[in-house]
Amino acid sequence: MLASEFNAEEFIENQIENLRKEVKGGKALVAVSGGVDSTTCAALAYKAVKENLVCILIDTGFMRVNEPEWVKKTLSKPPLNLPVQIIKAEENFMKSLIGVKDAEEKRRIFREEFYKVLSSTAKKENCKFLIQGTIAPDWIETKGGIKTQHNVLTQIGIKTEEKYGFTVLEPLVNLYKDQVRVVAKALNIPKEISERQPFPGPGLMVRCVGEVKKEKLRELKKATEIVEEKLMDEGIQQYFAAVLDEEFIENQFFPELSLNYAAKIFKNLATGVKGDERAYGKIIGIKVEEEFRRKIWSDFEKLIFLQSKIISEKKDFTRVLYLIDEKNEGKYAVSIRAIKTRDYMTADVAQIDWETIRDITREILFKCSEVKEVYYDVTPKPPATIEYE
Amino acid sequence: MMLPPNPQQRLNMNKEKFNLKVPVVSLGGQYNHLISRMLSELKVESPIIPAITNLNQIIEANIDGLVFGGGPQRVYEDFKKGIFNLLHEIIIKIDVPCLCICAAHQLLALIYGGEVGPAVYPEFGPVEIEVVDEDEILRGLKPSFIAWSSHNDEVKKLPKQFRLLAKSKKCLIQAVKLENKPVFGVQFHPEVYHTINGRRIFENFLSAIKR
Repeated sequence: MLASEFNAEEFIENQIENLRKEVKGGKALVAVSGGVDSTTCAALAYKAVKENLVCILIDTGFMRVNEPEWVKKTLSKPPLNLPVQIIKAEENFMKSLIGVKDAEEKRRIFREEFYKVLSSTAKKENCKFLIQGTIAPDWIETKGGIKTQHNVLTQIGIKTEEKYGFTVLEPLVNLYKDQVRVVAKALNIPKEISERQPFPGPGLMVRCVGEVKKEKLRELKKATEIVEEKLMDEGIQQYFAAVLDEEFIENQFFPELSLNYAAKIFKNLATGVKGDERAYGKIIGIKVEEEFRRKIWSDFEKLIFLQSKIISEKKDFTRVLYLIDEKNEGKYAVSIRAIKTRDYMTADVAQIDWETIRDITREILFKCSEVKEVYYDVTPKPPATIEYE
Repeated sequence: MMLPPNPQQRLNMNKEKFNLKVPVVSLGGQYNHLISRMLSELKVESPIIPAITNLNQIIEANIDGLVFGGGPQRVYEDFKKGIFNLLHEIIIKIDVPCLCICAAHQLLALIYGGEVGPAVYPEFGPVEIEVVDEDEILRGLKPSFIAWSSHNDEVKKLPKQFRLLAKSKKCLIQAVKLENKPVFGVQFHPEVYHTINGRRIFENFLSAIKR
C-alpha cells in the first residue's frame, strides 16, 4: 500500500489547526452516517472545536436495518464520544421522490432534502459552519458530470452561505478512501468504522433502481442484510445488493456467444462512466440454462470478457448481469455487486465461489417473496460505476 | 513559483520531500487527480493545472516535465474548432519530457498530423497491452501487461515522426513516442490502481527526465 507515503499525523495536525482558524470559536455542524469519511471528518471537527460541535445523523429512510441506532451507539461511546443526535426525516425524502425514475433527478432531490434538514438544524443551533467529509472521488465525479454526489456544493457553484446559511469546510477533500482509512486509524477510530465498507450518501436510494417504492425498498433491505452477512469475510472492498423492476423491453441475442442462453434488457437504466463521460444506459441480464450456469461461472475470466464484448459492441449499454437463480413469482430482480478496489476510481469484479453465490441467491429468493430473479453484476468500473445510479 | 491551486493540497505537501517538479495539465478527466497522487508518491511535486490556464507561465516556471491527463471531449472536433491552439503551440515548442494520456495522447497525434476518430470497439476496463518497442517508458514490460482503458475514440493514423510502442487487439495504437524527443503518448491509463505496472511506467518516465 502506497498510502504509507502519506503522513497522517501531519495531515491531522494541519486540518485541526485549519478548522480552528476558520470556525474561530463559533459553532459548527457536522452530519455523520457512520461511514469512514463522515466519522473521520466528525472526529477531526470534534478535536478542533470540542463542545461547539453539533453532530447529527439524518435518518433518511435509506439506511440499512437498525443502522441509525447502531451508528449513534458506536460513535457516542469512547474513544469517539461524539454527541450524536438522530433526526428523523424519512417521510420528507419518500414524499419528494414519488414518481421519480431518473437517477440524476433522484440524486438532486435527495441533496435538496438533505440540506434542508442541515440548514434548519444549523439555524436552530446557530451554526455558521458545516464541516463535511467530502473526498476526492465525490467532487471529481460530480464536476465531471458522472453523477451528482449529495455532498458536493461549492465545487459546482452552489453558494451555501446564501442558500443554506452556512460556510462549508471540507478537511478530507483531496483524499481517497484508502488515505481516509489511514487518517481514521491514526485518530483511533474503531475498526468497525475505519474498515467499514463504503455506503453511498443517498444510501439505498441509489440501489433501488428506478422509482422508489416502499415494498421494493423493503425487499432491498432484506437482500442487503443477506449479502452483507455472507460476503463480509471474503476480503472484498465493497459488496451489496441492488433491486430492479423485473420488467424488460426486449430480448437480444448474440449469435457469436454460442451458448444456450437468453439475454434480456431491463426497463430500468443504470449509471456508467465511459471515456470520462457519464453514460446512463441499458442493463442486460444474461440467462444461461440451469445446467450450464456453474460451468460458465467457473470460467470467470471468460464471463468478464463476454461482458466487455457486449459493452464494446452495444454503445448504449452500461451493465451486464449474470443470472444465478430464479423462481416463478415476484416483481423484482436483485443484483449482487462485489468489487475489488483501492481508491474506488476503478473497480474490478470480485470472483466468488459458486457455492457461496448460490447460497446467497437461494436465501434471497426464499426470504424476499417479491424477488423473482437474482443476478451477479459482472461489469467493472469503467464502464459501470460501482453504484447503480 | 508553482503552487498547487488548492490551499488544502498545498498544506499536504512538504516542499523538501520533492526532487522534481512535473505539473499535471488536466483536460478535465476523471483520473487526473490520480496522476498527481501517483507522482506525489514518487516524490514529485505535481500540481494540477487546467488546460485552459496560460501554460506559457508554467513552461517558464522551471519545470522538469509535464503530464497531460485525459478528458471527456471529442478531441478531434475541438481540435478542428481551434480550441487546442494554445496547447498545440506549447507541445510543439516544449523541451521537457512529456507524457500524454488518453485524450491527450489523441491530441498529440493530431498536433503532428495524425488522425483520430471514434473507435470501432471502444475499450473499458482491463485490456491486454502488447509491447512492440520498450523505448523507454515501457521498459521491462515485454511481452505484454494488463492496463485499464476508458476511451470512445482512438488514434487511427500515426504521424510520420512517431514510433509505435504498443498495441492491443482492439486498438492498434496504444503507446507512441516522438522520434528524437522524450514525448510519449499512451491511450490506456497508467495512473489507475488496476493498471498493473502503472507505477513502473511513471518511474520509466521520470528516468527519462533525469537522464
